Amino acid sequence: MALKLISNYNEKQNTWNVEIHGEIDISSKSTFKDELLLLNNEKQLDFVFNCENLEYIDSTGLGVLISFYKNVKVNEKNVHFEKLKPSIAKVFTLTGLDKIFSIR
Amino acid sequence: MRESVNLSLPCRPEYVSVARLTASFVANQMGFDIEAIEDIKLAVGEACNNAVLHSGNSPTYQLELKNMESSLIIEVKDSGRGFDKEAYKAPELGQLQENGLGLFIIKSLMDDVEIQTFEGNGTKIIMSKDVE
Ligand SMILES: Nc1ncnc2c1ncn2[C@@H]1O[C@H](COP(=O)(O)OP(=O)(O)OP(=O)(O)O)[C@@H](O)[C@H]1O
Ligand SMILES: [Mg+2]
Repeated sequence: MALKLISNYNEKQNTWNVEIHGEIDISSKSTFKDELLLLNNEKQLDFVFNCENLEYIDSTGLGVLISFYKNVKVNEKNVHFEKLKPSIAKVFTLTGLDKIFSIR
Repeated sequence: MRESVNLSLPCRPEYVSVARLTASFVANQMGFDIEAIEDIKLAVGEACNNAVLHSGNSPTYQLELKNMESSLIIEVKDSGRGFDKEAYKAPELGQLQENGLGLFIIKSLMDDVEIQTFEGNGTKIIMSKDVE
């Protein structure tokens, strides 16, 4: 399964809302990273990731999230993750990322 | 051993999903629950990622899934550059390191993990998960 992102600017909240569909892995991580950087370059805002349809993430995908988080923090913005599946939440907890990222 | 599945895969990112799918299929056949299947899928993904990213000049790597009835034994073997196991350090969680999570994830999710590696002589990771 491939990766598909649906990104929207949320005017009310003044955030980038990104729906993640599919898998973030060794073969999709570059696309993922490029799309996020594009949005962040366009407008520096908080990011809200809707993970309802995120099926899989591995360490290479987590690496992208960590480096992107650092980018966003430079502008004093934040990243939020919503609706994680149990298997994804488990990986976040295991790697301690649940304590760093805002998860809701 | 009841039966085993053997795959030889190119050391290319696109094929890692084939390894994951095959592992989930075998785990499902063996009666693992959904959580365990996800664990196995991720552990296999991490081992294969490493074969692809770190083995160096190795053109292919091998995945073997052994159905032992009460457990699944998985071996991922490449004939690449190997690494110094003694120099490996577990990640410091919370330090925002962008790399170094793969082996830690494997060890956390599987019941038993053994790494055989020799610098210049390939790497083989053997991991198993018990059917509850
Ligand atoms: N098959 C392999 N061949 C050669 N070196 C390996 C192999 N597997 C692991 N290593 C070495 O062990 C290190 C740790 O691997 P690990 O999977 O934990 O982290 P990583 O691959 O560097 O980053 P991440 O998995 O978070 O993307 C690697 O950086 C690499 O040096
Ligand atoms: Mg790795």
